[in-house]
Amino acid sequence: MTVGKQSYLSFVRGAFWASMAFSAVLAILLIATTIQVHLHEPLNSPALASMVEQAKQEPGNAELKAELRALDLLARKAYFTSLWQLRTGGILLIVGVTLSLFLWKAHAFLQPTSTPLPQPATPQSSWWAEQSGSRKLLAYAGIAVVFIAAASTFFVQGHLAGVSRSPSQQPALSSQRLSKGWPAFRGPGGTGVSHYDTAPVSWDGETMSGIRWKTPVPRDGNSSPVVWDDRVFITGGDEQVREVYCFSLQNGRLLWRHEVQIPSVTSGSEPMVDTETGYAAPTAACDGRRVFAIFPTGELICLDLEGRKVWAQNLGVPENHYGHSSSLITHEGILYVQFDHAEGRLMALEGRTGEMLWENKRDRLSWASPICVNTGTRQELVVVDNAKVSSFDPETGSLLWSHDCMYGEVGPSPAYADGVVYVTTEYSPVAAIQTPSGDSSRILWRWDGDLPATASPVATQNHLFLATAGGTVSCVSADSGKTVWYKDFSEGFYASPVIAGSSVYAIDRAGVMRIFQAGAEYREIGNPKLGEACVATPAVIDGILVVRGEKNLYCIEGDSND
Amino acid sequence: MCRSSLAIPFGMFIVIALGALSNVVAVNRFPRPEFQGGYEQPPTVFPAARPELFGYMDIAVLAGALCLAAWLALKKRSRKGVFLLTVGAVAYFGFFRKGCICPVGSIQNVSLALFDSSFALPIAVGLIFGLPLVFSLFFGRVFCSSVCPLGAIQDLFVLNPVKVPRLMSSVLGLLPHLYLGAAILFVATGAGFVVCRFDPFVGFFRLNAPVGMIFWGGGLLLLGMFVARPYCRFLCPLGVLLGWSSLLSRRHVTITPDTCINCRLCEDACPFDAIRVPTDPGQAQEPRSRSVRRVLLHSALLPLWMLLGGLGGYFAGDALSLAHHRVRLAERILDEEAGGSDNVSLESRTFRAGTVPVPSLVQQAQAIRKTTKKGSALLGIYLGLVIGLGILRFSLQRKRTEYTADTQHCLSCGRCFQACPQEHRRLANISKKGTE
Repeated sequence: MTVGKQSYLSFVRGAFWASMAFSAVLAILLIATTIQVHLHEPLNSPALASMVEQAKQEPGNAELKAELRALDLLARKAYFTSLWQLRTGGILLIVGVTLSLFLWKAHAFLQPTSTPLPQPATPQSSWWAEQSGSRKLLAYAGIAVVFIAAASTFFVQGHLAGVSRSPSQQPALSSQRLSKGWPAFRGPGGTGVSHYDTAPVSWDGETMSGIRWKTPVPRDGNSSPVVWDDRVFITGGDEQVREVYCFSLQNGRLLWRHEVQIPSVTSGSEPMVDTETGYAAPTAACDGRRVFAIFPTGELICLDLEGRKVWAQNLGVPENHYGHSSSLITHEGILYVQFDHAEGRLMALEGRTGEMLWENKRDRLSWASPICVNTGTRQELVVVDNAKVSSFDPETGSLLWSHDCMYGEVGPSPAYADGVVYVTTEYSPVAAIQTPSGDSSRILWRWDGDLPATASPVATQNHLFLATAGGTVSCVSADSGKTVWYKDFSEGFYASPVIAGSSVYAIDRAGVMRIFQAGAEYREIGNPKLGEACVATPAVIDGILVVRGEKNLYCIEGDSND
Repeated sequence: MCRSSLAIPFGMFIVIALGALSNVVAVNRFPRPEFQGGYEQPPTVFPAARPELFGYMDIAVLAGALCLAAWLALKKRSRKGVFLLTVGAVAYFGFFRKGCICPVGSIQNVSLALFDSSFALPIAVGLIFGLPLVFSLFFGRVFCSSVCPLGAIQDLFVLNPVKVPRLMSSVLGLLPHLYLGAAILFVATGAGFVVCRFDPFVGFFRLNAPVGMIFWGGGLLLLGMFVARPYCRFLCPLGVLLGWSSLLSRRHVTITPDTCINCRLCEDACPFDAIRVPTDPGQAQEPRSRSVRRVLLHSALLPLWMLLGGLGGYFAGDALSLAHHRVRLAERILDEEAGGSDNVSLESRTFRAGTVPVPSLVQQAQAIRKTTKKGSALLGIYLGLVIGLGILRFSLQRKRTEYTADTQHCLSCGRCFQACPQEHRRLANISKKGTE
């Protein structure tokens, strides 16, 4: 090797060690800087934090604010300087490592190498053995892969494998079919009018006379019973637990109960729930295939008729100062949710999947529930708030008509009969609105008198009946809007009156059912007692009444009104 | 400076350096200020799309580099030239073009175009995928030799390579097939681009990567000092396709320019164990009938391997489907609903805040799982075929009289002919003619 090449080699060797040392020192410095940055994050400095606290307590201290800003700026500058140092150091490190590699290769290139002598081929006596070994090893590896692959299925037994929550493909039941049950708050369409003409008129809850069964409801609630086929659905709950119950209509046996636990989207917020409203005020709804329930916590759940969860959503805790109480309603397989609060929405969800079909923003509050009625020409979804009553196309959510005729805190839901929608609340006189057969609706008349605070009115073709918290019942002419008759009872009404055949059923807070003729004259039919307080609206099914008392659920089949 | 004695401390140093580097790239982002009172967040600014011209420039550079690589390896037979091209590939395709899009990852783009009719494959991506294959079909794996940035960066780290035992490499050789199949499967099911997600070196090229990726790539480079180019040999999915086309190549790198003198120097020089050694003429031959029986037996077993692979793949579908984020999310939400998790994850919380209900997610996840199971059964059949054919290959008796390049696995790096005495003699003759 020439002297010149030797000196090159020495230079390369020295440069290699120098670049190694440079890179190693840089690497150590970078690690140290990173640790320092993590340990002493400038923005989390105690001095800055204490100044922020002090500034919160002394919002008018301008000097402190200026000092805080200066320190904050300094901290941010320090942070960005650290980032710059780390990034620049990283680039230098890559340069150092690359240089080291280059010098390594250069050294190998310059190093004197003697051409090796040709070597005799190694004996290949093991060639066959190697071939055989490779075959065996490959086969073992293949079997091992198959075994591991097959075994993996046992190690990833997740929930997906066992869950059968694909939405039912059965078609939705028609409204006509659904009206033969009591599928929502105030029955079919939410109008309070039963499909059946007959209902019991005499019973005694204390002696169990005329009572088919009486069963305690595990948790309290102001929601009303919903009946479909041979099942009664009802909700109950408190701050800790919300539940959906299913009872047998035949014998009152609790068939299943489903505890609702839907993780909240927004953490930390608690619902505002008035003690009178409670945690189970909204009534469930049933579309004949599934049952839906909502709670003041924003939890919305869909269960199949066996109590298995189909889907659930947490709509977020509503900012509603009495607590959410609007009930659910379904139509043709679609679930309608009136979710009134500060950022309220009226939503249409696909019943099978919970998928949002449409939603309308609502900027007003109410505690009333929607009704869904056929006006003869079309289906309308009518909702009310503290300013207006509005009607929407249930399929598209488009606004059909609206009237600014409401004020106050709206609890009663709209009533409907023969093309006329009636809305009212305490301090807001009754408005009778003719649903349009043509382009626009119009208010037929207003009526002022004893007005309900919570109980919804109920209407026939000729009369409107209003039961109030003060204990009065008024009958108003549907044609003229004049008072037809007026009756003062001893106890107020929170539960909404319902109609079966030609009889009105209005149960007062003491649990006495006021049954009277739905006609132009007040004619008493009966005053049977439940035996306990009641604020829930009864369900009427073909000669049967299902009533929720304060603690118990009753199925009544006493003498009928036919 | 003894190479072997220095290799270990040098490797340790690289690890420390990578550790430091990972800290650099993994440093926390600047915390978002908690603005209050009227401050409006500025709109998100997205960088402008890269001009189309640059895409065509990449293709031109790639084509030029492939031509140059083929010329250097096959015509010029210059190891130095190949090495310099390797450095150039790291600089251009690696650090300048940030390692994207690379032909290895483009397998997924092509697969997506095949499985998703709504995805139109850009011409540039198609060419980036196709050019290396076409060149491989004519000249062998010249793309791997010095053009691929992933291979090139590993090649620079080859310091003290050791031979991988043949038995081990025969099993490890299954991994690229598995990776290729999994990459296509995950694209077909929508699980994502797994090759890109686990690209080991893109983090270095971009100077920003998750810590895991830095350690993954760093580990491979460290390993690559002793086991040359481990990613290329035991993982690269494109290597499978290039190997197949290289098998059919019209021309391929030859070790010796003349008659092989069986000196064995090339075998030692090749760090990739891609040289076929001559069979020993003195070795006792196996009776032909026995060989034929074995070949027939393993040929008959091929369908069994495919069936076994298909079954294993089908059962592995449950696990493989978890690669899809919708399946993982559905499992997580169901687990939360079943009370299996104490906390609600950010993903499930975000999902619940949307308008898609859980049953739809569950239904979607179940459909994805079903598709994945079908796909993984096909993947299993393919792997079974690979295993069966591998066993069959080891059952064949071939006679060789000289050292030749394994056209399927040879990376055309030129180390073998650099070590060949016949090559040295040729170069000496050329030099002598030049001086005359």
